[in-house]
Amino acid sequence: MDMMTLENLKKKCTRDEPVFCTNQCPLSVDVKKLAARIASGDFQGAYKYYSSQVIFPEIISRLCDKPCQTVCLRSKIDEVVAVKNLEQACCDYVDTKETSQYYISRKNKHIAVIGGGLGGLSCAVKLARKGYAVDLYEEKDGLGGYLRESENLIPLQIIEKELARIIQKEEIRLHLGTKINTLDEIECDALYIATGWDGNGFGLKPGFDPVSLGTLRKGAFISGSIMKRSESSVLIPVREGIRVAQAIENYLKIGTMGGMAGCHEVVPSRLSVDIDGVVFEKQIVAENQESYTIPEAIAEAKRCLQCGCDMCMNSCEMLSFFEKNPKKIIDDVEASMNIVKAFTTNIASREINSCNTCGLCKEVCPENIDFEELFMSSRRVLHKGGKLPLAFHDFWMRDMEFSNSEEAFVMINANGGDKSSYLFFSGCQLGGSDPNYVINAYTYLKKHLEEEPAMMIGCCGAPAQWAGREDEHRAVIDWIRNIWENQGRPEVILACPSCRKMFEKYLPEIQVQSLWQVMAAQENSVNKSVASKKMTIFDPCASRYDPETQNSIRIILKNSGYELEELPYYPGKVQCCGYGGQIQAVNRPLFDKIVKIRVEATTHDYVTYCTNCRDTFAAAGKSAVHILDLLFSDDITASAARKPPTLTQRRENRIKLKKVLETEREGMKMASEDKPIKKIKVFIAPEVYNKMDRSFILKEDVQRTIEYCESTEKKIMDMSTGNFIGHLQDGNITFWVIYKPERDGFRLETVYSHRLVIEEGL
Amino acid sequence: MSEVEKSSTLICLKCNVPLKMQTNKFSYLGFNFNTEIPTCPRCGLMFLSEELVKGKVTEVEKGLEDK
Repeated sequence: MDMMTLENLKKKCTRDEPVFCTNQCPLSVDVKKLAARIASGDFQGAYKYYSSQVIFPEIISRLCDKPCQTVCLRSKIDEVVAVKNLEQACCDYVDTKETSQYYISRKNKHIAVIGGGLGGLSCAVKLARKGYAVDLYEEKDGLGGYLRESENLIPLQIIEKELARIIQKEEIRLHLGTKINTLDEIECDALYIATGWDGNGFGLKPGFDPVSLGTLRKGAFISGSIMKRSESSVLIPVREGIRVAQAIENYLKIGTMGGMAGCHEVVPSRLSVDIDGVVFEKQIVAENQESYTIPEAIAEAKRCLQCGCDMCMNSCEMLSFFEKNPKKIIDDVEASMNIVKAFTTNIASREINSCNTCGLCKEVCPENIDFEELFMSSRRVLHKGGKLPLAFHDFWMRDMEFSNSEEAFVMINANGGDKSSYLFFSGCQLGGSDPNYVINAYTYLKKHLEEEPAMMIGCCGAPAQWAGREDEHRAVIDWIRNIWENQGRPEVILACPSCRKMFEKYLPEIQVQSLWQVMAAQENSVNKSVASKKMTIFDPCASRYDPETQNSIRIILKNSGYELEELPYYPGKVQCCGYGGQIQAVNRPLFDKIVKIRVEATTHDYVTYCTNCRDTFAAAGKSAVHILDLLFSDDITASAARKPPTLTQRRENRIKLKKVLETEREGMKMASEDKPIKKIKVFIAPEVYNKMDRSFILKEDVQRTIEYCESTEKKIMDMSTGNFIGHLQDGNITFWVIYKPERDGFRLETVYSHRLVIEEGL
Repeated sequence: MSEVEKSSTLICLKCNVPLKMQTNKFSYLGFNFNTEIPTCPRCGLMFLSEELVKGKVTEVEKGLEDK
C-alpha cells in the first residue's frame, strides 16, 4: 500500500461530497442544517442561519424557485421536502429578526454600488458588514429593482420593510432618485454596476470575468444581467452580489481582479446515500393552504433525510467507535506506515489493531474502500518496524503455537495408510470449545463419506495473519500445504468458516468444502427430530462470501423442523460477532459493545456454525447453540445455556481431545500416558478464572509463577493477610500472584499482570 | 492503606527484612520511568500492588500503546 494508493482512496471517499440540495442552490443554503434546526423547534437558530446565507430572508423565501427541490432524494421514495415552506416558516416563527452585532473595525475604503436591486444590495450589505464605507446609488425612489414593478411577485410592503431594516442596520449610505450618468461622477476605491437587464453598463463590457465579474477597468465589477446572462433564477443576482463583494475585497487587499473560486455550473455530486431503509412519508400539506403552522413545519423538517454518506460508520462499530472521518482514518494509516514523514509520532496503533477484519466496510462503501486491507497493511508494516505492541496479539500467537504443538496438534491417517481422498481439518477452537464437537463430526464423516477421511487438528494461521506477522503466517501455511501434499492432496473438509476464508485466500490450490455441505447432502441420516422452534441463524462474518455454506446450514435446519427468522444483514452483509481479529486484548470496550449489539439484535436463540460466535454470545448470557449441538446433543437447552470454557479450559480441552483420539487409535494408547506432566497444584476459584480470562492469564502462567517463587524463594509475605506475593517476568508479560499454601498445593487469591518491564537487578 | 503503610507489613522471605519504599526503574515500548515502590533493601525484590497495576501502570501502558 503506497502513498499514491492511499491518496487515491481518500479521493474515492464520497463523504465530503456536496449534498444535492445545497449543491443546487445558487446561495448554497445548507438545507440539512436549516431542517435540523426547525426539526428541533429552533426557529430562531434556523432564521439566523438562513438570513445570514440569503441576506433577504423574507423576500428570498417567497421568491425562491426551489432548485433544491428538483434534486431532493425524497422524490425517489415519496415526495420532496418542501424546503421553500420551511424557509418561509423560519421567517414566520422567529422571535426577533434582529441578529447579534459584532464590532468590526471600519476600513478606510469607499465602495460604490450602482443599482438598488437585490444584486446591488447584496454586494452593499456584504461589504458594509465587513466594515467598508458603502454608497448605494439608485435612480428610482425605492429599492428592490424589478421587484417593485412586478406586483404579483411579492407585496411591496414586505419588500420595503425588509430592505429598510437591512439598510438601516448596515449603515449603507443610500442615494435614492440619483441617476449616475458617467463613472466620473463618483469617487470610490471599487465599484459594482448592478443596473439590471437593460441597465447602463458604462461601456465596461470587454474583459468580463464570469466568476469574479471583474471588468478590464481596475476596481470595476459588473453584473451578469447587463451582459444578458442566461441564468434566470431570482437567486442569481444575490449570488452575484455576494461574489462581487468577495472579489472587491480581494481586489482591495491584493489588487487582483479575477481568480475567484466558484463556478456557474453545478458540478454533479458523487455523494452516495443509503435510502434502503427510508420509510414512505408524504409531504406535509399546510392546512391553511398557504404556510405551515409550527407543528407542520417541524413535521416536514423531520422528513429531511439529512443526506450524507456514512454507510461505513453506520455499519462498522469500530469505525464509529473512534468517531473519525474515514479520511482521517486513512491519514492515521498513512502516518503509521511512515510513508510520508508524519508531523506527529502518533500512529494510532490501538485504532489500527481494533479491526475485526470482517470486511463489511468494503461491502457497504459505494466506492468499495477496504479498511480491513488498510489496517492489515499497516499492522504488517508496524510489526516489521517493531512498533506493534506485543500485548495486542501475543496471547493469540502463543495460542496458535500451542495448537500446532506436540500437546494439541493431531494428525490421524485414514485406514492405517498415509493417503486419503479426504482430510477433515477441524481448526483449533472447535475442540477447544468442546472436544465432542470434533469427535462427533469426525465419526459422522467416517460413517458417511465414501472413503474414510484423514483428520488434522490444528490452527490455520489466522492469528498470525490478523497480527500482521507474515513470517509466522507463511510458516503455518507452508506447513499445512506440506502435510496436504504428503496426504496425497486430498479434498479438505472444513468446519470453521475462518479456516475456510484462510484456505481460500492462502491455499487456493487445495480443493475445500464445508462440513455443513457434506451434512446437508445427507439429509436423511443427519436429521434429528427437534421441537418446532423459532431460531435465528448467526452467519459468521467469514461466511459472507460462502453462500454454499450459508445455504447448507439452512437446509439442515429447515429439514430438522426449525422455523428461521433471518437477521436483516443476511446474506451479503453478515456481521462479525466481535471475536474476529481477536480484538479483545486490544480494545475490550469495543469488543463488549459489538457483542452487546449482536446479542440484542434478536430475541430468538442463535444458532451458529462458528464456535467462536457461539462462545462469544454464550459468555454474554445469550442463548446460543452451535449447529453441532443441534445435530448431536441430547439436551439442546443445556447446550444453549452451556457456559463457554475459560481460556485455560480451552487448552485443556484440546489436550483432552488429542488424548481421546490417540487412545482410540491402536498403538497409541500409552503414548500420552508415558509422559505425565507434573505441575504444581493450584486451586483457583471460578471468579478468579473469570478475571484471568479478561486479562488473558492461563492456569499454566499461574503455575509457572508460583513454581518460580517457591523454587527461588523470591517471595514476599504480607503479614496483614498471611499471603505470599511473588512475580515472574515472562517474555513481555510480568505475572503477579498472591497465594497461600493449601492441602497439597496452593490456593490462588488473585493474579494480575502488566506489560511494563521492571528493570531488575539495579 | 497507603503504599508506605503497606510496606511495613510486607516481609521479604529470603532476606527476612521488611520492604521499604525505594525508587525502581521501569520501561515499556522504548520509554523509561522511575517509580517508588515497596522493595527489599537487601535483595531488591519488589512489590507492585494490584491497585497500582490496575491504575497507573495500565494507564501508562495504554497511553504508550495508543501511539
